[in-house]
Formats: sequence, structure tokens, C-alpha cells
Amino acid sequence: MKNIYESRHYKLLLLVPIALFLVMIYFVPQVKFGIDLQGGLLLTAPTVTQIDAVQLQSQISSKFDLEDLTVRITSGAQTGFYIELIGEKSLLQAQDYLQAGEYQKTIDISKKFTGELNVTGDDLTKADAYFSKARENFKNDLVSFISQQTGVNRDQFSVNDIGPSLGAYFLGQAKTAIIVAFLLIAGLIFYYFKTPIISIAVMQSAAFDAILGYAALAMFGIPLSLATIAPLLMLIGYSVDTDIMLTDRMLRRKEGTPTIRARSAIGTGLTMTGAAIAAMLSLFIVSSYGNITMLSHISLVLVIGLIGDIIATWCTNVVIVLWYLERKAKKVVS
Amino acid sequence: MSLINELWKERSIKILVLAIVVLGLLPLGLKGLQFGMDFTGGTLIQVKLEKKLDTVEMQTVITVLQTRLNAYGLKDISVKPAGQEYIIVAIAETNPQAVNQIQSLLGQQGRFEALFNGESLLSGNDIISVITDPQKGYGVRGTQGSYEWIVPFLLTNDAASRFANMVEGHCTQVQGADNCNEVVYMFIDRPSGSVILINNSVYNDEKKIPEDFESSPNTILIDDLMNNSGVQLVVSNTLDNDTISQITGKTVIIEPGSFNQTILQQYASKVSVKQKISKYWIINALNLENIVHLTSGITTGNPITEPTITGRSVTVEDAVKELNRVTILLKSGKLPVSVAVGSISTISPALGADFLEYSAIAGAFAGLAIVGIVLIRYRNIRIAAPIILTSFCEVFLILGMAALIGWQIDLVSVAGIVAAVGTGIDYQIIIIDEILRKEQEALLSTAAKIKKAFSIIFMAAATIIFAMFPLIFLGLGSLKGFAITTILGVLIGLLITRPAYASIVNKIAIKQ
Repeated sequence: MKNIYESRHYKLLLLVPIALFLVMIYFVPQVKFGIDLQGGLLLTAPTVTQIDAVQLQSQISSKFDLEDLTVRITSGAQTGFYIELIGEKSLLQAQDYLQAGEYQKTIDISKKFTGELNVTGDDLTKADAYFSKARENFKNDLVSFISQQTGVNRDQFSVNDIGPSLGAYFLGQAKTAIIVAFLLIAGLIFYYFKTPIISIAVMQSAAFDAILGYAALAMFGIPLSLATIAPLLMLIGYSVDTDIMLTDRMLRRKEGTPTIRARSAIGTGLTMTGAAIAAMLSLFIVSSYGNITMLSHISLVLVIGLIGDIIATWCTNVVIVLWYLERKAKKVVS
Repeated sequence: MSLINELWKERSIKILVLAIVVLGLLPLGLKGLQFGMDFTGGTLIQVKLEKKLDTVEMQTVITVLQTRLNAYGLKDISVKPAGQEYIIVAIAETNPQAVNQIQSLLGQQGRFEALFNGESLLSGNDIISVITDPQKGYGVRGTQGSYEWIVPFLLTNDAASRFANMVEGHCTQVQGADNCNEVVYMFIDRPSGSVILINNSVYNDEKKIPEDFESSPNTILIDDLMNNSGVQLVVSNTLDNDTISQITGKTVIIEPGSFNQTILQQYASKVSVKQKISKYWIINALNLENIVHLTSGITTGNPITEPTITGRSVTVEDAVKELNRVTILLKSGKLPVSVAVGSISTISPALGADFLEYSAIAGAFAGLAIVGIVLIRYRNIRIAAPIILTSFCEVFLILGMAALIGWQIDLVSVAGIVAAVGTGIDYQIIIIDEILRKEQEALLSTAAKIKKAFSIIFMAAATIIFAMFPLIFLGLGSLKGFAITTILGVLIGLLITRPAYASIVNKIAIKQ
């Protein structure tokens, strides 16, 4: 096979990651947060009779104005339904108002659910009381409605109300984890290669893979949850393997030209990434078949991120290092 | 055969074999692998606290909740903080009814009550604090065979007067001792107004309850106990009309499997099923926590704002246990903050078993996929076989280490293992490719090539460990398991299996 790195236009390879990056940027803002990271309601109940998820979903949507409603029927050991939602739209609005300190607006919205309440106290306690009551009433209405539609007794419901603050706590911790991991690795890479440009070449690959993995969440409609943060961190660690191997060979070897050395590293690198992709793909297929949502999400994010690693390593990292070596060579000559 | 003999001379191979025995076979054989809730089934409950707590307060809340759950006889409970505002409770229970019960148990403030002659002598609100100052008498004292434990606590003035009035003159003294015959019953969340329904055999078995709920010769009649707790007892072998009429409209407490719940539910306002945890079921049914004798000193009619609860145990361990129990008992009516149950997630044991089966299958398929890739690339079984063998050893060692440190394997751990083995494969590919490079660097010995490969491998392994490092220290719950298994796997790979692999490959390369 021809060595593409020998071409004068090898820098054009950068177009591939740039194009992909644009696609990623499009998907990044669309990532949904799971209810463990942003709060929400989860209703589950066992059922005896068959329930049509699509029908139930449309019944609920026609009655309530909800943010991100998901209705799933669970099968296996026990049949049941699983209804997840972020909240009622106007109440989410009220919550924003409450946080922004616009208490009158909070109360105005909440009143639609509570009617007039006999609350004394300053604006904050008043708004808080109205809002809590409204949320409680909405929850009860929702449960009653679903109970009517499905014929499942209210007592059978398990209602999980995750407050936004625990979600915010987990999200904060997760962000810290990602930032700290990234900084630690950056320090290590810099210590190993000593050259800023080379270190950046390796780190861009880690960032690229993690961002692509993140964008993959939106592409496949997977919510960002505690479980899906794990593969993102994994990608940071995983992706630098090939980059270190490649960069090490290009910089620390003497045989042949840098382009030849880069070309020869491809075989090793693709086998490495290929083995990882194959492993994760099998994990994905089996866990999807077995309905193990957590594993299938983790493996899918890793597969996409690893595919991205092929591009980040063999289109971006190589180009940066080649260009660096070229400039260094020129300097020596002049 | 000569290859095996030659390999055995290598130090790294000896280490690998030793590791397989010590870190793999022994822990797996002796301790066995523990599976997490994902695979065994169980319930995870998030408890939200009213406000942020410091470490000390958090520990108090956790101890109280733990005691409460233990007191209700739930096995395999873990109560852990998540940040400063949340507590995660994991229990092996999955029965929806039991889970509901636990939910209310956690949410409750923990109503402490001391009853005397069936009337409330003290409640949690009366207690200002428990005095844990040894100067004021708190602690265990005594000598071999008879240890006395003392818990002083501070009462409000009102409570002190009421207490004094209620017990005044009620002391028929036991011969030669300071203790009176009269006893006070202590409850946490006494099921007042409920009916306890038992059959004759249970009634006969539990007719006399030892004061220490275990084996004390001083016993209390079940009827006295009921009279003193304000809870009605119905003894019947069948759900006849008379029994039905006595329970109609009330909360009924029964032992699991003792009566037909469906029938009871038609008449009773609520059916509460209580497990038997201690020797006597009735203790659990009543939530009776302790029986304490009055002392002559406090029945004189003078208000005492700092009364003490004391008792005796034969061993010092029992005395300390009792001391802590009573301290928590008195404190647990007073959780420093109110708590609310946030989310509950339950995984049924059947689903968990499914998960385990599919995880194992998924792992096997991932292994096969790697074998496929390696065979396609090298087209040589002599190269592929050691890679597969090494990875297999690695999985085995990770599982062995998990058993050794008592780490529970759950779904994220499975992902962690696959990830660790995946990186392991990467490093083996780096080694084999270094060795196979025959071109320009043919002058270098295989050993020198392996050394070169290892500098890359150390670096790559360090990055994975660094990536996982923050997860161990942050409060992200399940992700800690992922990080631990991955780091464990990478370290095992780096220190044990990779050097062994290099030795094997080195020998094979020399042969060729």
C-alpha cells in the first residue's frame, strides 16, 4: 500500500478530523442528562395485563405537558412499566424562577396546581411552599392518571423523585473527575515527551475521542448518566496508548524517515484499536441482546470513541508530529 | 517440553505461577467471588438530608440509620454517604412490601419512647442530649463477670417533673440490690394502636421473654409486655369471625407466612409483616429495644434532670455493645436533621441472574473477538496463543484480587475488567510488534526490543491509572468500582502478566 504520509499534501489529512469535529459540535449540545444527573421523576409498577407503551405515552402526553417523557415496558422476571420524565414544563419554569429569585412568578405558576394557599412568611418561604405543594400535587395527579389508564393500583407504584440537587452534586463530581484526569494525564505526557507541541498532539487525541464519545450519546439518544461517564474517562486513558506508541516510534527511533516510521506504526496501532473495538462491539451486541442497558451504553460509547481514535491518531497526531519534525529539520539546515 | 522447562527458568514465569496460586486460586477457592446488587438483586435507596453535614454529624446519621435498619433485622445493609447531603442505602431486599417498609423506616424520625405501666414516661423530645462524658458516669465499669454500663442523659425540666411524679413510690426492691422490680420499656417507633396477631404455638413459645431478650433468668410475661406497650395482642389459630372482628379497621402485624395476607387485607386497614430477627418475634413486632429496671434513687419523687440508664453484662464486650446501643437508642429520636427518601431502585434477583449470565457471555464473546483480530493480523497461532493465555490469566487474577479484597463484582466492574484486558492486549501487541520488526533494527537483541516496548507500556499504563484515579476519591458511587477494577487490572498486567508474556515471546522468537 502506498504511504500516504509521503505525499506533499499530507496536511490535507487534517480535513477528516475537522469535518468530524464539526459534526461532533452539532451533537454536543444535544446530549440529554439522565435523571441521576439532573433530577426527575421515575415511576415504576408491576403489571399483570399487557400494556401498550406507545398508547400509554400518548395518553400521558395529551393530559400533561411534560419534559422528556419516556415510557417503557419491562419484561423478564416481572413485567411492569417504567416511566421517566424530567418534570412538568411549567413547573420546571417555576423552578427556574425560584432559583432566579423571581418569587411572584413562581407563585403564579404554582397556583395553577395548588389554588390559593394560606402561607405566611417572606417571599422565599412562600414561593418555596407554593412550589413544593404544586410539585406534590402534580406528582399525585400524574400517578392517579396513570393508575386509571393502566388499572394498576396506586399502592403498587414506586415513585422515585430525584431532586435536582443530588443530580447537580453528581454532575459536579463528574466534571471534577474529568478535569482532574485530563490534567494528570497532560502532566504525565508533558513529562514524558518534554516538547509542548508533541504533548499537545497526543492530548488532542484524548480530547477528541472523549468529545466524540460524548457526542455519540446524543447520536444514539443515550442519556449522560453516572454509568456513561465511565467510558468517557476510559477513552481518555485508552486513546493515548496508540498516540504514545506512534509518537515514540516517530521521535525516538532512528531508522528510515519519519514518514516510513509513521507508516510502519499503523499496523501496530490499528491492531491495538481494532482489538479494543472488536471486544467492545461484542460486549455491545451481547449486552443489547440481554437487555443490560448499562453495559450496552458503556460499550457503544467506547466503540464510537475508539473509531474516533483511529482518526485522531492517524490523521491528526501523525500530521502534527511530521510537521514538527519537518520544521526542526529545516531549522537545522538553515 | 523443552520450551516449558526453559520457561520455568524465567523469574517472571515463576512470579506469574505464584500469583495465579496466591492471588487467584486461593482467594477464589477460599473466599469466593462476591457479586454486587446488579447480579444478586437488591434495592438502592437514596436518602436526602435536610442540609449539608460535616463528617461527625454525617457519621451520627449513618450510625442511627444503620442501627434502625439492623434493629429491623435487615441483613446485608450498606449505608454510605454521597457527598455531604446524601446517603445511599443498599440492601439485599427486593420484596416491594418490605422495601416500602424500609422506606418509611428511613424516613421516620425514629420515635423513642419509654413506657411505664403502659403510659408514656419519656419520649425522644424530652431528651435534650445524651451525656457521653465519662466524668459524669458514662461508660462501662466493673470487674470480671459483672460489668455495669451507665448512660446518663439530660431531660427537659417538664419531663423531669413528669418522670418523677409517674415513678414516685413505685419501687419494690429486689433483695439486697439497688434495682427495683419495676421496669421501663423502651421502644423506637412503637406500633401504637396496632394489633399483633399470633397463633397459639408462637404464644406458647414466647410466653416468657427474658429481660435481655436472650437467656436471662429474669423473665417478663408476654401479657405484661403487651399491657405495658399499649398494643393489642390477638392469639388465634385461624381467621375466624371473632379474630376478624378484632382486627377490622386496624393495622395488623404478623409474622411472614403465619396468616393469609390476602384475607387480612380485606378487613385490616394495613397489614405489616415483620421478620423474626432476634430470638423472640414479639420483640421485633413491638420494636421493643430495651427493658430497664427502675432504681430506688429515682422513685423518691424528686425531679431528676440527669437520670441514667444502667445495666449489667457478664462480658465487657457485651457491656460496651449495650452501652452503644442505648446511647444510639436515646439519640436516634433525635436525628440531627430530618431525612427524606429520594429515589429507590430495585433489581430483582431473577433479573440479576440474567445480567450475570449475559455478562459472562459478553465477556466470552469479547475474548473471541480479540482472538479473531490477533489471528487475522499475525496469522500465526504461536503468536496468538500466548496473547490469549495471558489475557485469560489476567481476568483470573483480577477476579482473584477482587475476592481477596472482598470487592463486589457488579456491572460496571465487568466493563472495567473488559477495559483492563483490552489495554492489556494493546501492550502485548506493542511487545510482539517490537520483536517482529526485523528490518532496520535487526542488530538489536530481542531482550533490548522488549525493553524498548516496556518504556511505552509503562507510560500508557500510567495514563490509564491517572485517568481512573479521580474516580476513586470522588463521591460517584458505582464508578468507584469501575476505577478500582480497571486500575487493578492494569497493575496486574504491568507487574505480573506482561513480564511473563515477554519471556514467553522472547523464547518463541529465539526458537524461530
